[in-house]
Amino acid sequence: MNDEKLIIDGQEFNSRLILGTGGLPSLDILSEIIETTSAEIATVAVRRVDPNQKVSIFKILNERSIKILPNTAGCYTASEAVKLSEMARESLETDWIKLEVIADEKSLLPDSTEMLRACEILIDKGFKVLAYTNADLVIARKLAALGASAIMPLAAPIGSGMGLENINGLIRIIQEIDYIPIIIDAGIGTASDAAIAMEIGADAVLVASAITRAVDSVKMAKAIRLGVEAGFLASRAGRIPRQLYAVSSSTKDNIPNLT
Amino acid sequence: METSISLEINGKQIAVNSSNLKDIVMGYLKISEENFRGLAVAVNNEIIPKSEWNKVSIKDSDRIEIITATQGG
Repeated sequence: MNDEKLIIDGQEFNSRLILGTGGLPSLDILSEIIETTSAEIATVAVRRVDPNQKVSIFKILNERSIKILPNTAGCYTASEAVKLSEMARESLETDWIKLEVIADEKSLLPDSTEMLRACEILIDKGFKVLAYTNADLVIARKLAALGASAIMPLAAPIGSGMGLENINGLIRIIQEIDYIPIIIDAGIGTASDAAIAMEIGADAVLVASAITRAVDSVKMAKAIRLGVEAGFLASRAGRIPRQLYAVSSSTKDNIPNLT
Repeated sequence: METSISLEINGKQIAVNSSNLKDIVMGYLKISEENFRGLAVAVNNEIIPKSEWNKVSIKDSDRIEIITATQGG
């Protein structure tokens, strides 16, 4: 569709839609969702193994050559996040980590001080950190300065489906941090949210619940893929400026006298 | 009679007959070595690389965590 690639940590991707697998009712439809979204990167959580679980998400993603992005969901402190990241690296054979350190269960909003602490330690240990954050330019800039591979500001709380709550905060991050990808993460509710996220200049969008918890996940997967593609094209197409009053599109010359 | 070791795996108290970490992991998950990919193991909070599992001896009251990937945003 467009030959401009998404580049994260030197790796090239055609798709700008990253699939979050959280909220999937079962692994049965994962393959179909992957196919429909054309996603090339998918997030996973790292949890205690269930001895009775016969299907492995690791295997499904590997077989489809999907880049696995483990997250640190569920961690409340930097030290928990570092430990979980190390287990993720050992088990999933990747040094990529979507770092999230949350402050409380109700909001699931990131704890910025713990995020910064964890980010520094992980980069020191050789991880490629994709850092989840509030849409806060100052924190985003600090995470980038520590050496994060991507900044992942949230549109709204995880799973809330509220869309872009702080669009100007997101635009500031996109405009001010131009040397690593900005991936808008969390809070996307439907295709138009994804389109707007891309239109304002995000490099990619991460969507989980909006797809996995939709009534028809596969249909929504397609809608959001199209939204991402439409928004990305629009971001490169040069939209007309917003003006308070009309700018006539029909010529004013040679109007017949009909009075 | 074999000596039984009482330990904790993923929060559950269990008794095993072998002290070898690799045997314990295979027994707990009922898997063979070909299926080790995608797993990580920590003993008393220390991550043990797969290549070392065979060399680690587990003692009474050790705490083992075995993790893998699951659905998550």
